[in-house]
Amino acid sequence: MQEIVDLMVVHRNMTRKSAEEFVRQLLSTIEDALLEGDSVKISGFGTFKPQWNEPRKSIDVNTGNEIIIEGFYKVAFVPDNELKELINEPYSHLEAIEIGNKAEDIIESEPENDNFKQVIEPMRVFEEQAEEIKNLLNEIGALSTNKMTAKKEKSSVEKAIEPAENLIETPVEVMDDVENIVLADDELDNRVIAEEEELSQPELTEKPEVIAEETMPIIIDREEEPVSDIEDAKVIGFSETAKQISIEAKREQDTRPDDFDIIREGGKIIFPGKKSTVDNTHPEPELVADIKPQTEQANAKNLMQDEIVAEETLPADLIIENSPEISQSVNHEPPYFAPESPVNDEGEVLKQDVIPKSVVETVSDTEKAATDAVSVPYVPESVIEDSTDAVPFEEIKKRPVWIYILSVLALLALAAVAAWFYYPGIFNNLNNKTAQTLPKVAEQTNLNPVEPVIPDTLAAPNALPDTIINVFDAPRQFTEYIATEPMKRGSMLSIFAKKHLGHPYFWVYIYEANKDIIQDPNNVPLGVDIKIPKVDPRLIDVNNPECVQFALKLSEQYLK
Amino acid sequence: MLEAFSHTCIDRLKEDNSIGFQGFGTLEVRKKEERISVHPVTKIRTLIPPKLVVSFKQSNILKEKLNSQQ
Repeated sequence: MQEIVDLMVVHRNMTRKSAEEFVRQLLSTIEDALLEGDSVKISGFGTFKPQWNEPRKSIDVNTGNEIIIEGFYKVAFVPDNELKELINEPYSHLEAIEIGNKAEDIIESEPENDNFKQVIEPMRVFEEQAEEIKNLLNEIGALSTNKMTAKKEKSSVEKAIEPAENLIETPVEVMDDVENIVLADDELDNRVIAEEEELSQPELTEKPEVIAEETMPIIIDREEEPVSDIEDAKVIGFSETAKQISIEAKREQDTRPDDFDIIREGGKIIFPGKKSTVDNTHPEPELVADIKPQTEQANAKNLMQDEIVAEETLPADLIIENSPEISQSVNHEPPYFAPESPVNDEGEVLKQDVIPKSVVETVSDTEKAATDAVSVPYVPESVIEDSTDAVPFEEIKKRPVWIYILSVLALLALAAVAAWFYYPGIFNNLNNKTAQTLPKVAEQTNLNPVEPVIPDTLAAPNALPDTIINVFDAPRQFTEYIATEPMKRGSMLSIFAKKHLGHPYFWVYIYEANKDIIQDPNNVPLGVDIKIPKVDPRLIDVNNPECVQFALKLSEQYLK
Repeated sequence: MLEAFSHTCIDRLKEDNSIGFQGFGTLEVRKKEERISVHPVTKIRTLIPPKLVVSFKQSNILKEKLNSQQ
């Protein structure tokens, strides 16, 4: 009490005497009221009330005799809501939540849950990590495309050195652009018009310089210039959304084959993703549809690189999957493609010098075909654009590749470590038991092979389930005994099981070994010696949830 | 005055977790662990978060006074 008095004096600026008086008075008032049988409520604090406890039976701790505890009064304190909240501030953010399982399942599921959690946890962690790595890779991809487009306008002419690599750059971007275009069709016009003017000038200046021997014949069709600008505009404009594109690209993948079929059939250029005919004079869609076939060759080298790179890189997936369709569509339109273009479906590496040649040829061919060739020259021009890119592009392109490789290796290493760490049993089984257990695919008991309860989580799903299933199926014969236990009043098979075999559920094996003595597992005859068998350690692995569950199922069978 | 008293008490409880009143009892802050509770009718399992509560334990003097009287 004195402490309270002190605090009051300090904080409330009361005289010591008056504070003490007050507290004393307060307490005595409360006491008196309680003695009267009244409850005392202090608002903002709580209520003190006298509580009557009924007499109840109990046991004297010393003698063991039964005793009656008489009824008595007790002072109970119920805090006010204010007080509760103030005191509970550290935990105030927490709230009660519902859990899915119903009450009946608690008993059975709980012991298993602990084991299962161990199994599920690492996989969940992996999934999260995989997702993170995926996101990282996408970001890296986005970064690289960003850098490329940024540098485009700045770099000086070093075309001769890196025309091939630069060719590679475009397809990635173009592919990305294609996807984006699918989704943002309406925005195209606005963007194009806006950026067209900006870009037209630098591009125009670059073009004459850049024109290498290969690109000479491709001479810019004056009419088409603005469209090429458009393409570049798109390239630059959309590189910002490269990340989005990759995600959307995946979504679009399913629709791809159909779209290309349509392109093939009609000979008309149909806007991918929209499945509707578009006016051939409409610049953007043609651009889109035709660029794809053109750049598919350039894709080849990119594909190789991307295939080396992790499966997780979406652009690679995108390109690879699209290439078959592209090449098909390409072949159906002779003006677009020279027959000698050695393009294979899964992106076999083309020699790099082939690419410019074929492009040249196609261009020269298509120039003759007037209306259809609207967009063809754009490819070379985009090539031109990229051929202005300097060495940095190559470096930038290569840099992400090894990052991808490293991350994939890291992921694999993680998987291996986790597998070894969490499932040490796997490696044992793989080495020793496979030969022995194969012939043991035994008669089917009622307990059909308990399918690995969580097959996805096992790191070596093929190896482990085989051995475990066979073990469970094998007929059990207990010839060796490791101990005997006399059956006394109050002892239980499950206690023996826990002691000798590691888990109470494994009593079923003890029961099986002593079937001649025990008729009813619930009613084991007293005074008999129970032999504890030596059980296959794979069956009585305490840490293995399948073992526990299998034993449980056996017990259900026996207890009917 | 009462307000002052209760506020002081609360502040004290937050810091020291316990206040003793001689001849009366002790007010104590106790932590309740989180638990899963099952609604008996709907069988819905709920996870109740941990919390801090104030509990009062009467002193023996008070107890005897109370019981001798009634």
